[in-house]
Amino acid sequence: MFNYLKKIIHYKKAITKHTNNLDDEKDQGVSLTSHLDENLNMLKNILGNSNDIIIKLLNIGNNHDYKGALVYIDGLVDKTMLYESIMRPLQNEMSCSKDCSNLTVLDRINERLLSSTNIDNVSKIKLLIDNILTGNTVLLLDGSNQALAIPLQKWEKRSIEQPVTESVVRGPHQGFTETISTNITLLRRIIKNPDLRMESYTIGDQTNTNVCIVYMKDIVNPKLITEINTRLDRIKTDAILESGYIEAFIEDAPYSIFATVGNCEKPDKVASKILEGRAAIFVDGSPFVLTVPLLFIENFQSTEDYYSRPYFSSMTRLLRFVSYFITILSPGIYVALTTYHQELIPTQLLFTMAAGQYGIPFPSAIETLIMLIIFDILREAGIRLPKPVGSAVSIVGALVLGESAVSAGLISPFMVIIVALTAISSFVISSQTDSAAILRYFFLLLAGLFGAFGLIMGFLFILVYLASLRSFGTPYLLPISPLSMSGMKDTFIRAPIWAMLKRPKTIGKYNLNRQTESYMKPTENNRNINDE
Amino acid sequence: MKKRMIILFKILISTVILFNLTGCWNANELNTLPIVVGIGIDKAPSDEEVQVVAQIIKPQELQGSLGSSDGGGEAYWNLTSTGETIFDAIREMTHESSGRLYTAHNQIIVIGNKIASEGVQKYLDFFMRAHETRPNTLIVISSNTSTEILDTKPELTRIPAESITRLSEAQEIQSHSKKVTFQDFTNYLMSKTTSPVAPLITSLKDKETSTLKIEGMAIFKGDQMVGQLDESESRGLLWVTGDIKTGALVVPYKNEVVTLEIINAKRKITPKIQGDNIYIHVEIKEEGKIVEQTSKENLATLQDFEELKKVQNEAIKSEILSALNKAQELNTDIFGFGEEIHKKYKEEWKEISSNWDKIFPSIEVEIEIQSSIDSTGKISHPAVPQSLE
Repeated sequence: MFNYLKKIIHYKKAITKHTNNLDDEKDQGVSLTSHLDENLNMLKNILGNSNDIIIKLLNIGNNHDYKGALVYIDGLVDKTMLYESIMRPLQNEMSCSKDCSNLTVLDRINERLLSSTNIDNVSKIKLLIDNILTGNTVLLLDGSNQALAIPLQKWEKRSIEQPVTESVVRGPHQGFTETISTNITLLRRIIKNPDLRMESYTIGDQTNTNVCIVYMKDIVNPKLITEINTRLDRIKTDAILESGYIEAFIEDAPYSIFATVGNCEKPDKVASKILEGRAAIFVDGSPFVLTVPLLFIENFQSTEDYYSRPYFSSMTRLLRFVSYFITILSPGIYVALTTYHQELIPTQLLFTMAAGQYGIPFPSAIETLIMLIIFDILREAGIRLPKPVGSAVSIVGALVLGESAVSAGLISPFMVIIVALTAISSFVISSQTDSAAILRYFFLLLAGLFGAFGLIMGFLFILVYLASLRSFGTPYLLPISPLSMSGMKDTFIRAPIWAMLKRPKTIGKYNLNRQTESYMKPTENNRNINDE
Repeated sequence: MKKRMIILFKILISTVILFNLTGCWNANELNTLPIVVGIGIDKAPSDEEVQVVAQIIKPQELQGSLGSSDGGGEAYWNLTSTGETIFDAIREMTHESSGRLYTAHNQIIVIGNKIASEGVQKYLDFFMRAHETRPNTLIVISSNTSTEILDTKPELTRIPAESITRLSEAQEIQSHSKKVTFQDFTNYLMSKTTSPVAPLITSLKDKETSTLKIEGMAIFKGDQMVGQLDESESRGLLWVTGDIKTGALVVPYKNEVVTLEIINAKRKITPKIQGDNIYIHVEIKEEGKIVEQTSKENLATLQDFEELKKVQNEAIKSEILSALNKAQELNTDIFGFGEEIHKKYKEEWKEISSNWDKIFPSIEVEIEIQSSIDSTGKISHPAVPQSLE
């Protein structure tokens, strides 16, 4: 069966390879001519008559000696800046004697007149188009086969807000936005170090999306960056609409229900991961930044763990493990106990459960399945529906499906408790909600068919599978398997910050020392600073 | 490719269906399961067959006790059936019940008097073999029939079997009897010398109400019941077996009585072989506490304590002696002296064990009791005007 699947995939790969080679290297070769009209005609041909593309013809110089044109996209350009620092100086302040050749005029404009930084000389039509589309303003000059690309981008964007997915009580509240430059700035503001390096990519034949790899030069494993480079280079697609696209293309186990690429919305979290030796991948248009490699344990860690006191953090972390097991296993365990292993239920509880089940028309496996599906419907509806309708859904969900179904004798009251517990626990591990939802049904099926035997086999299967996964060369279950004692400081418990002297062994092995021992030692002097 | 897809799809569908067709090994829904909580064994009226009573709970009636209203009806159903063997009788019950009886939650096995006198081993054989039987199921012996016991409607709980379980667990408060689990009982049965004991339960009937009472213990010789211990004899047995938890000792003192509560008790049994004679040395260490006195005199003096200790020792000793006399009279080693000798004298044991029935009635038991009185409760002397001295 798997061989068959593999064959299909290979076939599809072959087809895509073939089509990708077609449209390369043709347009890029075409150069600009030294006639303005020809150049403009060429541009019009490629860009079409879209009304947001503005071609502004102007005469340059205080004597109006030179003919030129500005090409830009309306809405992507800061208009005040365009008038103040480009058009006015070009038209009024430009003084140039006749002996200047057309080619040097462009350089003079660049050097003397324009205050904008980062101005590029462009001579190929393809590059010119790319510049226009990314929001740069292009200046063409009659008689010159080169053009100037002036970055004056400005567009409407969302301001920095608190992220929806990862809210914290203590810790920074800002989250990433959809603009890549803002996001990188947020990170730069946290890590003020020349070693913070970035590598830019443009991916997507149609969307030309900016993608940026960010890492700490002397902490990260250089091989990790090469690996990310090759994986990003391999992407041949027409559109990158969200970082999820990149994730799908570069992840180690594309068929897995477990994510092997992490994502997060908070700059402080990305900073902490980068400082442990991971690399981050920023994608323009998405507030979710990818981090690799991802360990399974990261799903159970929250930034707030490190900002609160270690005892409480350790307790909540253990609680998260418990919640995870509750959310994936409790429906299965309930079904296994009530249909196969009644002898494992304490006698008094069995009486109560038997009383609750009395008159229920469905077998408990079916009953559980129905309730889980209803819960998933409610959850999905809760995410998508417009806010004013929210209260209606919660009333329907809680009252009609919970209370009334029990009093009508359709489901047992225990079932409601189990499903409610499962539902609440699933939100504790927010980043594993997706896989947990699938695993829940998986274990329910096994429990319904084979009882506890099935549950145990399924659990072992998942465990072995997790241990076999790798994320960018790092074992997925890392501090647990292979066992790393120093990693245990930040696994089931969270040791005090001053005790975590080393970075994670595998990820940060190129620069293991995080800090030297510098915790507060109470001495007579520092205890008695108030004494005279 | 399409053909292969169809084949793949067919395989997938048939696998899924296959799982459903297996009929779910061992699967039972809770609401269709007759949960047995108590089993009684009696001789059938014909005396040839065995009669089994299974107490099955009725969950729908139990639900009433969860909510506001009392369920009205009884929360249990006693199903009676006869058969040549226990298993036969239990399977016969499916003619009347709505499924195979589920005995994994059986809490108690009540053995009728006639069965106990005849010999219990052949009736317990099924329970030892059945995988559903729990080793901690309790065993009680009915002074009459087991049906009578399981039919007695309890006052504090809704299910008789549950009330009997609690009753036999509560025996440790007075230490006049002890709970005997199925595992204990079978261990005794397999011992060469030790005689099994089990709590004896009777149903006290008035005109309208009937209650259950555990009075003493039944003594078995081999697997046959041969006699019984009354309450103080039972405690005498428990002193020696080390099963005393707590209890009241009422002792005479200076023409009045003092009630002492047993706080802690330990025992040590040392067998000794000297020539042909076998001695058993029983050492009891006990801590007591004055919980009640009828005299107006202040007993919280060192002298009184010394005296009280002696009286307490006597009381304990007389309890042990009464049990010992009964046991020697019936020639039943309920104390497990034989096993103690076996542990210490492995060489001599072979000979002793074959003659144990001759040795035990005349075995010499030395009883040494060290007791103490540690406390007088919240007050030290009774609430009477104290003389000023």
